[in-house]
Amino acid sequence: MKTVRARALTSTATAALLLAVTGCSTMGGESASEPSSPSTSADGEPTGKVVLVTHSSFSLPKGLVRDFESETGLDLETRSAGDGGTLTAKLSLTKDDPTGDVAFGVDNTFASRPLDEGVFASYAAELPDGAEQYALEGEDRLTPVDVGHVCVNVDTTWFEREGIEPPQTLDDLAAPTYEGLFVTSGASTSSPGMAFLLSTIAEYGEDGWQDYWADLLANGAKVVDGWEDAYYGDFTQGGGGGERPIVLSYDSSPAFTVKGGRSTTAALLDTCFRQVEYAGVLEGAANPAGAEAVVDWLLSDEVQAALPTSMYVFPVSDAVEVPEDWARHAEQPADPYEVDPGEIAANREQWLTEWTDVISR
Amino acid sequence: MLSLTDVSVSYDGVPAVRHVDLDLPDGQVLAVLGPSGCGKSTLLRSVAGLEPLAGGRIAFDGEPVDHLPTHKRGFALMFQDGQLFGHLTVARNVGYALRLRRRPSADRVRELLALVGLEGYDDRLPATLSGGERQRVALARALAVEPRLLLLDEPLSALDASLRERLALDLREILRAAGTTALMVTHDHEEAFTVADRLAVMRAGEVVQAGPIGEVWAAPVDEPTALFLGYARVLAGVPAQRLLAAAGLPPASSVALRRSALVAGDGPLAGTVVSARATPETLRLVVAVEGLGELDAVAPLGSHAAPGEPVRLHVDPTRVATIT
Amino acid sequence: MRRLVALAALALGPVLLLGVFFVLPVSGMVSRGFWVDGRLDVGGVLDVLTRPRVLRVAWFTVWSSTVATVVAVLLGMPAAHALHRLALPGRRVVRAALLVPFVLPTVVVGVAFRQLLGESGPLGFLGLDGTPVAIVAGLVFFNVAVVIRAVGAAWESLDPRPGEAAAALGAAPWQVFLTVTLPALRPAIVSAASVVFLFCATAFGVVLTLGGVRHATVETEIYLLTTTLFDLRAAAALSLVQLVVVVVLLVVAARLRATPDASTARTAPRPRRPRRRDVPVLLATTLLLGLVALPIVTLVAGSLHVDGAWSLENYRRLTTPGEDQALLVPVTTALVTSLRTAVDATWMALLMGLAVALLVTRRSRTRAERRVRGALDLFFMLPLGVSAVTIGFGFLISLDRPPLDLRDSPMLVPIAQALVALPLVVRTIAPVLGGIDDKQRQAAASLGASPWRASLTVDLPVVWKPLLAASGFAFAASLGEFGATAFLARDERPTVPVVIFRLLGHPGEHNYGMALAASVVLAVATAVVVLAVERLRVPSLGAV
Repeated sequence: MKTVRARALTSTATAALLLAVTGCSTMGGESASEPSSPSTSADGEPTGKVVLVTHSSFSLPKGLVRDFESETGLDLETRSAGDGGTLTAKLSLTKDDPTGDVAFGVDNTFASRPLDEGVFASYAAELPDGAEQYALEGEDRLTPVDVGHVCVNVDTTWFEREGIEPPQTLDDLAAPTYEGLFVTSGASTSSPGMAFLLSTIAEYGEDGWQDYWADLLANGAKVVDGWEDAYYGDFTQGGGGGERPIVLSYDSSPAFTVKGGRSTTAALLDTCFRQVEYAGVLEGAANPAGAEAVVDWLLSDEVQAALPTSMYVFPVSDAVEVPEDWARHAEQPADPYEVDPGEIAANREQWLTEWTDVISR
Repeated sequence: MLSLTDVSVSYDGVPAVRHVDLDLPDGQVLAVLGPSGCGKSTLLRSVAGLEPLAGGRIAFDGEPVDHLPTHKRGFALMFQDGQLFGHLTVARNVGYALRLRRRPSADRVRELLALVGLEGYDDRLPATLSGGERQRVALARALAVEPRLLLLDEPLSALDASLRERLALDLREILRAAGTTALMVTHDHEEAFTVADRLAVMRAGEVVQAGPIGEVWAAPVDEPTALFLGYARVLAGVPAQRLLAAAGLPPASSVALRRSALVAGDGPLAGTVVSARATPETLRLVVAVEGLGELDAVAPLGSHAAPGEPVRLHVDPTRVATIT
Repeated sequence: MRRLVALAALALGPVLLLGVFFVLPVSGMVSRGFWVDGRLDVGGVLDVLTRPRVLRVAWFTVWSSTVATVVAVLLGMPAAHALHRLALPGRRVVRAALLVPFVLPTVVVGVAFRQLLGESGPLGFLGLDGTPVAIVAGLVFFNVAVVIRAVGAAWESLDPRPGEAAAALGAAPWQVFLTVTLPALRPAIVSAASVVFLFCATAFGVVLTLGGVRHATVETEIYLLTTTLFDLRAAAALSLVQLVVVVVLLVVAARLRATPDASTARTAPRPRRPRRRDVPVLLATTLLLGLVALPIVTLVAGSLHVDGAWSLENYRRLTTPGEDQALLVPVTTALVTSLRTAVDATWMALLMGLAVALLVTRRSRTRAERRVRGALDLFFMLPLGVSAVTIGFGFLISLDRPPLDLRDSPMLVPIAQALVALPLVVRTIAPVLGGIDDKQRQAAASLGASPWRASLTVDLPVVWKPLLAASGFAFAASLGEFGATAFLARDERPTVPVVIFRLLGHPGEHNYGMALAASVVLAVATAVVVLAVERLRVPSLGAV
């Protein structure tokens, strides 16, 4: 009797476990992706599956994607992973056998290397008004899609409360008034950190930026790992209970700290570095026609208009309106710092090594 | 009938058992006797299929079994420490092999527990049993499916002396009653004599002597064997001749004596008592025997034998063995 | 010979899996560093190793991992005893809760730690923010559960009689501990310590977040070299350094682990009531729990704070895709994906882990066999010791043609997570399996049980509890895994850590609050599942 019951219980438990396992498994629900037949239909329109390779910040409203698919008959599949650097490394490593048809998210600090390696194919997309200024000179393999600026942000409420005038320039950050108030993310560990390093290089020159950084650190600037750490961990308006009212962030950030119709933060427009993100058709794409359609779509008014809310960046197109909060609180710098992509690629390692030496001193 | 032909086993190239030939007829119990490290357990394990053979053949009823894994040989092995499954009750331990064969039977389990004298122990857990009880359960478990060969690895040596003696008798009775063919290894000659019909003596990986227990007992093949079989002394040369003459036995090169081979009272040998010690059954003496040296002897309880006193001795011919 | 063949057959599955999903990708990436312009360039790789920065980075990695491992073992031992041998109320819940750090995204914990240790935090006066001490504290926070769980599981099934015998011979409790208990626990401790060391040595987020940018480790350096500097040669060199260090460590650990007489009692004693002499142990445990709880409490408090007031708003938002559709799917959907993936990863890790543990603990008959088993044991630990960046990129370049065209397969995520959890499973089960007297299996075999059945009779009842402990580990490790998952997960099916990372990637107090709330939900889900698994009892096995 006892044995029988024990066995019954055991089998019940086993069955339950099996059910739980199969029920919860990811394997059952996965439908095999249908074989892609990249082709061009009779009327010359692209069809089939098109794969977009991008970084993990990529995001667009589902409705837009659906509209695109129903209009073109394409099946858009997005594969996003890592940051811009990871994306670039991924594209370079897989250039002989790309993981997709089209890429989005390589920015001007990383653009030079994949271009040199022949990752992208030529495609002269028709640029919307205003986008021309962001295009790489004489280069039709990468198409500008969005633009953002890495700027020093300040907590305006803090400065009002303390009765101190907020800083304006890079020089100010090293001034005694602002001692111990600035937090930035590292150039070696974060993309905005790298952009800020490039700002200082653009401002102080190849031989002057090291001294500036030494002054900055001597003035109590804090260097943390990522943007999240700086903004949420140390910034007074980040929500994480930080103590520093000056932080490295973006020109769009003030649009996200609006309280009672007024932003509690401001971007210092004289400290900004321009980051342009590009899209490009991948060399060796299985569906080049589809890839070109995706690039065109990224430049369309619908996508351009969705960029601020979806990806926190400005559109390259003048034709679309930015959201109200953005229009009111997020101002773009007129004359940001820029460094030539080729020069960045050539010097990145040396600059980072020197930078690391300076901050580890 | 179990037959081992030229069986060798080695560990990592080092031979542990060399060229062993043994036969065990059905229904008999064979004891393999030898000091620890002589390879007797290895031999047993190779029969069980737990050690691969380096050479030779093992067959049962004429069928070779070397290629069969342990669980397909139809043998059962009982370990020195029982190796009961601690999470199973006594009854479930005993019934284990029955369940494996998909014929569980509560009656059979009760019968077996009765056989080993543990009625009513069904629901106990091994941890709550004494050492002797555990070995009985292990025995019942091994006997459950009437294995064609039972292998016993020092089945009683983990127990205390009096228990061992009693259980040895029980074991013999149980094996006889069940008509079991059994191979037992032990280092204890008393245990071997109590339980077995046949005896094989092993030393340094080789079987030095084998045969029916009485024959081996009466004629050990050499001095170390005699000593291991429980003989107290081995005499050679002139003393051996003197002793054999005193016993009225034909001459031989050497002779092995049990401790009770010389009996005090009267007789052809003379000596002086060196020490005396009483045991419950007899008086044990050490006597300096003229021409033979110091030897063990016995005297009936109550007889007077103090150290330093002269004593006369005769030889009990059933308690000596000639070595040829 | 036949045994070696059988061994190979049992090993085939796991070896093949590890070969495809580990050896192939890693060797692919490393060889990219060695082959420059179609020419083998060993000298160039070796040159990298003489760079002062590389040496500094390697030294810091070894130093911080060693210190963190030692601290984790010292702090974990009393807790392992208290939570596994003493009948403390609620110990099951505490045990499950201790796995929470495992699943918390490092960025979130980093922020929580820095709120504690930071300039304005309650512990800010210690001035630890950004120092190596903070890194070690973070590493201990994440890994102490490994020690508690692995050592606790072994402690629980430890035969108490040798200790009692020693006490009867006049040994004071501390002498019993030093002379009997500790040696018997040594395999488990060494196992746990080696796993912790590997976790520490390959920790990525913790070091970055808590150490700031000054303290680079080999792992962070490989990331930098691969994704920012595109210096594949240096990355390959560092990957090799990792491999060598890991192999050396594992060989040493295997030596230390080997004890001839580790015995496992079949009937473990019931946990006993705490006595007065347990007070130091209880105090140490309380201290540890406090240390682990502090960052978590900070986190929970943060998640309940909206605009300076207490509120559940952050949790309410979890069912939405976030402000401005920051997320492709609501956190609740991601949680379902996470749980399903974790279930897959867990059964894979358990199945493989059990096979490997059986393989490596069976008694070897020949020296050759012992060597093969030793090598296998080491082989399956390797995934822990190699940079996730190297493996992730390796997937892309090596799994790209048939029959291994897998780089977009949805099964990659659970497989990768299972590989990460595998060493945990093996190291939890193996010491216990190793403590089983082989004669028990032989007894079963001699009664007619096939090897499979013998294992079921003998091994399963003993290994049952450690297996549950291991499944908790595997589950938690899978739920919290970020590096490989972020790299491999498909967009339409993000896991919770991926979503949290996304939320944290954008400014806005609400996104931050939601990230905290999502972390808390992830933590609670983990604790609940682990607790449920531990409560599972198979009647014929568990009830004794």
